[in-house]
Parts: sequence; structure tokens; C-alpha cells
Amino acid sequence: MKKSIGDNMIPKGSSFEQGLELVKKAGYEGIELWLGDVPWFQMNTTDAQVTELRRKVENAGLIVSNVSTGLHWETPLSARDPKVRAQAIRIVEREIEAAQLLGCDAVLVVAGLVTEEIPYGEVYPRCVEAMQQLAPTAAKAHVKIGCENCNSEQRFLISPREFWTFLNEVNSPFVGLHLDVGNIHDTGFAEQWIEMHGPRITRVHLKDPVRKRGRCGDQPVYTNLFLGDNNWPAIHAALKKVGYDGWLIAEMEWRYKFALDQQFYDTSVAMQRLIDGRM
Amino acid sequence: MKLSRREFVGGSAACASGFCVPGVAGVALAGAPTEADCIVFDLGANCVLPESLQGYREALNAEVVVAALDARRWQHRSGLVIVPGAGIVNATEASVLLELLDGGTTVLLESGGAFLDPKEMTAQQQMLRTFFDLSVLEPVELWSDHQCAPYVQYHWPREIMVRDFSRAIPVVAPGAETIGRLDGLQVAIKKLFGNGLLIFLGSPLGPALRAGDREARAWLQALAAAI
Repeated sequence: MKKSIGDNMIPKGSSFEQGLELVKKAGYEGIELWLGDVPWFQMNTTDAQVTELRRKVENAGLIVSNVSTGLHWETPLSARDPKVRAQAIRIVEREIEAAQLLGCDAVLVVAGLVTEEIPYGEVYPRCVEAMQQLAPTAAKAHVKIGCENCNSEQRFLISPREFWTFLNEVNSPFVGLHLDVGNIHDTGFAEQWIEMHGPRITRVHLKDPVRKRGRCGDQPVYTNLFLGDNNWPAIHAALKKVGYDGWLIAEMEWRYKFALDQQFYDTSVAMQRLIDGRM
Repeated sequence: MKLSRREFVGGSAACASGFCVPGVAGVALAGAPTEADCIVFDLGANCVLPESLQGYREALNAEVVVAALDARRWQHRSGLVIVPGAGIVNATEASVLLELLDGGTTVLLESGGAFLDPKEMTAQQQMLRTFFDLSVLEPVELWSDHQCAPYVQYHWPREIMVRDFSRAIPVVAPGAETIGRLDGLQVAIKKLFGNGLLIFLGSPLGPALRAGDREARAWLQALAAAI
């Protein structure tokens, strides 16, 4: 397995190049690029500029592990308005195009949001349909769409069995699961998701949840690796069992207050221990 | 009776071979077209909510034979024609609906106007006024200050509540009977028109049908039974 971290972790005020230098120095092999979340990678970033990002990544001795986006929280694939859905589709298409330019083969998508206004019964078929629509584009580009399990935040596809059924209905080898082992917190066990989805896992996000806390309050739910309640030996064993040998990507939501670069180093060391099974 | 892909393609082929009214594609289910009591109009690009069309088609699949549309065949018989998610209905399409109404058909016109651009919405308002004597108001955002889901309260063809669809279009029409209200707004009406019955829905029902909403399906079932 290989270590990566999101470019949205790069401390504010640092340039992309400075961030890459830190990522490399901290021991990562790759970087995840977040479309729409960082100034250097937006929807209007041109192909030439994306290619330039790749050059900078490679010059720093790194690889782009995958393309992600948080844009679907505001522009969901499950919106009632067909025009909003069309924009959401375009975001995924742009992720796929960028992935090709960046030389990677996976993108992250938050597929659908259940809200008070838009019920589960509507969200489900819209998301199946959206993924079925996007699958041929992904296949043509040889890029896999990883639908992220956002569980409680998304209020959609909350259990691994439910997610399995969803992927079966989409029915494409180019649409799988971008597993976030931190997002499961009180709704299940990451290792069971890994076992059930195995080869359908496109990438793995790492963070450690603190159980029995809600996100609605002011208590942080996520913490540094090994400090929370995930069973990391079980996660390691499950990854080994299913033969996952891809990217592990740090997504630390609770940031250090001081010495921001230290979080890169600490996380990298923890990830290495997870990879090596030294826990 | 489920619609197979072959049957669907067959129906589409019938449309392509001139079985349909020009400019209006019917969504065909299996069965003899002449026996059909219900059809779903596909306005193509003028259907703002394709998922609504899908919802009606799926909901009616089990109990209603849907034929490729042929106005001449339909204009002298009773039956139900559903126009889901209507955007700008052009003059040809409107005249087909008027012919059907004159022939005694019940036409359910579901507006997708709340999802149109303001300019397109103005065009829809003009079309509805010109052809159907309906005055529709600007779309209302239902969730701007709501604490819980607003439901459309239908009084006809049966008392039932159906979930809102975020935006609704209030409607006013002389001689019309209110059949559905939402937060005090008149969003669904029926009125006799020609020899037929015109039903206007300002809050789309088709997406709820597609989502498998029990009450939405019960409402449609009651309508099919009532005509």
C-alpha cells in the first residue's frame, strides 16, 4: 500500500509547490488533488494548467493518487432540479478528465445527499441513474469512480449491504467504493465494509473517529490515527485479507492548531505503521 | 405486466413509423394500442422533469395499457392522457391536447414550470392562458422557511397527502374546482373543458411516483379509477 494526503491539507498561505515539498519530505508517495477546494484546482482550471499541476507533482517526486471533490455537497447528483443535476454530472466529468491529464485512475464522488427536503426514495434512483450515465465515460477514460461512504453526513447508503446493493444496481466495474474508514463511526465497522466490498474499493481515506459523538455539536468527531476508536489492527487485517494494495489517503479533518506541518509528519508515521502492521 | 425493453423499443418504433401525433412521442407499453385507456405524453425536450415521465410510466405499467399516441383514435373516447413535467408546450402539442379534451378525454397536465428559467416560465404562463384559460403564478419556494415537509393535500379523486417537490406553482382558473392545496396555495385544479376534463398539477407528482411513494400511487390509482 502507498501513502497519500490531500492537497486541501496544505497549510493556508503555502503555495502548491511548498505544499508538495512538505508532502514529499513527510514521507508520502502521492497527493490527492481536490477539485474546487483549493485555489490551484478549480472547475475553470484549464487542461494546460492541470497538466502543469502534474508536472509540479512529478518534479516534487510524487504521484497524483486520485482526484476528489467536495463540490457535490453544494451541487448534489440527487438534486430535484435537473439543471443542478446536470452541473453535478459535469463536475464528475471534469474530475475524470483531470484524472486522465494527471495520470491517475480514480476519482471520488459524493453520490447523493438525503436531506429533510429530498427524501431517500428520490435520492436513490437519481444516484443510480447518474452513475449509470457516468459509467461509460469512466470506462472510456479508464478511470474508476469511487462513491464515498459519507454515512451520517450524507444520510445515504449507510450500511455496507446497502452500498453493495447500490453498486450492483449501477452494475459497472468502473463504479466502486471510495472507502472512508473514518466516516463509519457509530454506524458500523470499517473492517466489515472492507471485507464486503474488497475489489470494489477504489481508494481508502484514513482518519480516526471518536465514537458516541455527534457532528452537529461542537465536539470534534475525528482525531489523529490511533487516537480514536477505529480498530486499526482489524482494518489492517481486512485490507490484507481482500488483497487491497492501493492508495491510503490521509484525510485529517481536525487540524493542528500550531506547527501545522507536524500533522503531515505524525500522520505519515502512523500510516506507515498501519501499512507495516506494527500496532 | 412489466414493460420489457423490446416492448418499449417496439412502441418507440411505432411512434417513429408515424403512429404518433407529429411532434409528440407516446410512451408505449405492451398491448393493443386501440384498447389503451391511458397514455403518457413525452414532450421530449419540453419535458422539464424526465423522471416524472418515468414515474407515471412505471406507476401505470401494472394496470394500464399505454399506447402510442394517435389523436384521431383518441379524440372520441374517454381515457386519460398524462403530460408529465411540462415545460413550454408548443402550439402543435397544445392543439393535440385540446382535440383530446374536445373528444372527451381527461388530460392531466403536470407543470414543470417551477424548474424553468423565468423567461421560459413566462412562455408557459402565456401558453396556459391562451390555450387552457389557466392563470398560473410565479413558482413558490416551499423550503425557504419551513420546519418540516410541506405536503400537498389532495381532496380529489381522494383525500390524500403527497410530499411536496420543493417548488410549486399556484394556479387560478375560472370555473375550476380546487383538488389540491399546499400551505394554503391552490396548486391543483380540475375543470371541465370541451367534452373532457382538464386536471392541472402545479406540484409535480411524477417524481414521487418514481420514488415509490405509496400515497402518490394511491392518488393516481384513484384518478385512473375515477375516469
